[in-house]
Amino acid sequence: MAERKVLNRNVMIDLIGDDRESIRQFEIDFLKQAKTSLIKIAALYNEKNLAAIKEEAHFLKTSAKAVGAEQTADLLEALEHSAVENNKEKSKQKIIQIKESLLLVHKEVKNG
Amino acid sequence: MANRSKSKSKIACRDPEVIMIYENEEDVLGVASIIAEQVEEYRTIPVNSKIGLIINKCKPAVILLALSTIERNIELYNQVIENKCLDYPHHSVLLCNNRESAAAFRCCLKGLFDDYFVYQPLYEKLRLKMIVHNGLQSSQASTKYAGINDEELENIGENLSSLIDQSGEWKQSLLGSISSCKQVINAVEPAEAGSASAASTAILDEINKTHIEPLLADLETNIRLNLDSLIGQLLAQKNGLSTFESRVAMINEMSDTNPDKRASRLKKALAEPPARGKERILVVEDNVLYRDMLVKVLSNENFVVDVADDGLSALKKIKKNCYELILMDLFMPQLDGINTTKQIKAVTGGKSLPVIALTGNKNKDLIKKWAEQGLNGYLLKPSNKTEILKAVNKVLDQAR
Repeated sequence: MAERKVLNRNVMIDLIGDDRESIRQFEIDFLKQAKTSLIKIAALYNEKNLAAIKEEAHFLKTSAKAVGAEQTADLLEALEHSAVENNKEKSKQKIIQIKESLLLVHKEVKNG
Repeated sequence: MANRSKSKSKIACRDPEVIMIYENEEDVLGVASIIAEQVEEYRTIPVNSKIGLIINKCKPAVILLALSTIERNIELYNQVIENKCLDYPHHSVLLCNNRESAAAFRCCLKGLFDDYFVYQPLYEKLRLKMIVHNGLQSSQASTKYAGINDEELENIGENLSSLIDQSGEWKQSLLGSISSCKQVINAVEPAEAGSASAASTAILDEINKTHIEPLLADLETNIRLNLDSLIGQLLAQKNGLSTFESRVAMINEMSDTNPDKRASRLKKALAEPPARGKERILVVEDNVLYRDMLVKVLSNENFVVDVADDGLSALKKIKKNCYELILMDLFMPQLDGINTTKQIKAVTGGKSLPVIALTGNKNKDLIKKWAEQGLNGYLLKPSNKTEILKAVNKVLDQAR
C-alpha cells in the first residue's frame, strides 16, 4: 500500500480537474471546516458522547478524502472505530493525532 | 299504638308533629281533642309574634291553621313563609267555618293549603282525623306517626270490616305491583336507552367503516390521482415546450440553404436525443465542501445544478422544480437519503426520478439493499470526476 500523504493534490485534480485556484480554495475551505469540526469533537469528547463523535468524524472524513488529506482521513476513520468501540482513551489519542495532522495539512496549504 | 297516650298533656308536646294555631281556645277545643286522640306528638299554640320561630324550631309535619277568618289564616301563613320559618316539606290544613268553605276550597285549589276542614258550626270528627292522617302519611318529615289501629276505629260490623280490609289489601297489593313495575321500567329504560344508543353508535361505526370511509378514501384517491395527472400533464407540457424550443433554436442555427442537406441534418438531429449537459441535477449533501466539489464537477459538464442541505429541503425543491436526476447523500440530518427517496413520488405526483446515492459505505450487500429502496445507482464518497460522470450519464441514458 502506497504511503498515505498529508495532502495528495492529485485527488482534487482527479475530481475537479487541474484548476489550481479552485483546488486552493477547497483546501482552505477544508481547513476552516476541519477547525470547526475538531472543536466540536473536543466538546463531544468532554461530554463523553462517543456516538456523536463517530458521526462528526465520518462527516469530516468525506471532506478530508475529497481534498486528498489522506493521513487525516485515515485518522478520522480510526476515530470512528474507537468511538464505536466506546474506547475513550484511544479516541482521545486519535483526536490529538488528527489535530497534528491538520496542522501538517495547514502547513502544506500555506506553502502552496 | 297501644302505648300511645291520649292524655291532654300531649297537647303541650315539645317537638310536635302536628300543631294547631288558634286565636280563641274555645273555638278549637273540640278539634284539638280529636287530634290529641289520634297523634301523640301534638300541640296547640295560640297565635303570637313568635309563632314563626316556634314552627321553625319544631318543624311540625302537619300545621292546622284555626284563626277566626280565612283571611287572617292566609296572612299568618304568608308571614311565616316570608320569614322563612316554613322552609321544609309540610302539610298545611285550613280550618274554617261553614260560610267560608268556598274560599277554603279555592285556597286548596290554588295550592295555597293542602287541605281544609269545616269545623264550625259542626264538624265531622273522622274527616278531620283523615286529613291529619293523610297529612302525616304524606309528609316525609313525619317519622314517629304510626297510623291508626283497628282498635281505635269505630265498630262497623265484621263483614263490612273484613270486606274493607280485604279490598284495601288488594288495592295496596295492586298499587304495590304497579309501583314495582314502574320502578323496574324506570330502572330498565335508561339501561335500554343506553344500550340502544350504544347499538346505534356501533351500527353507525360499522356503516362508517364498511361504506362511508372506503367511499371517502376512494374519493380522496381519485381526487389525488386526478390532480397528480393534471400536474403531470402540466409538467410534461412545460418540459415538452422546453425541448421543442431548444430544438427550434437548434434548427434555426442550421445555416445550410440547401433544402436536401437541411432536411437530412434536421432528420438526423430530431432522431438524436438532445445534447447531454442541459439536464437539471439536484445534489443533496449536507457536507457543503463535498457538495461544492460535486457542483463544480457537474457544472463544468454544463449540467444545471441545484443543491439541498438535507432530505426535507430536497423534497421542497423537487416539488417546486423539475429535475432529471438526484444525487443523494444517504446519511443526512432531518431526513436521510433512503427516506427522502421513498418520498419523492409523493411530491412529484407519482412521477419517479432517478436517484444516485452518495455513500462512504463500501459494503456492497448493504448498498444493494438500499438500491431496492428506489435508488438507480451509487457513488462512493469521494469518487473522482470520471466515476461521477460515468454514473450520472449511465443513469440519465437509462432514464431516456
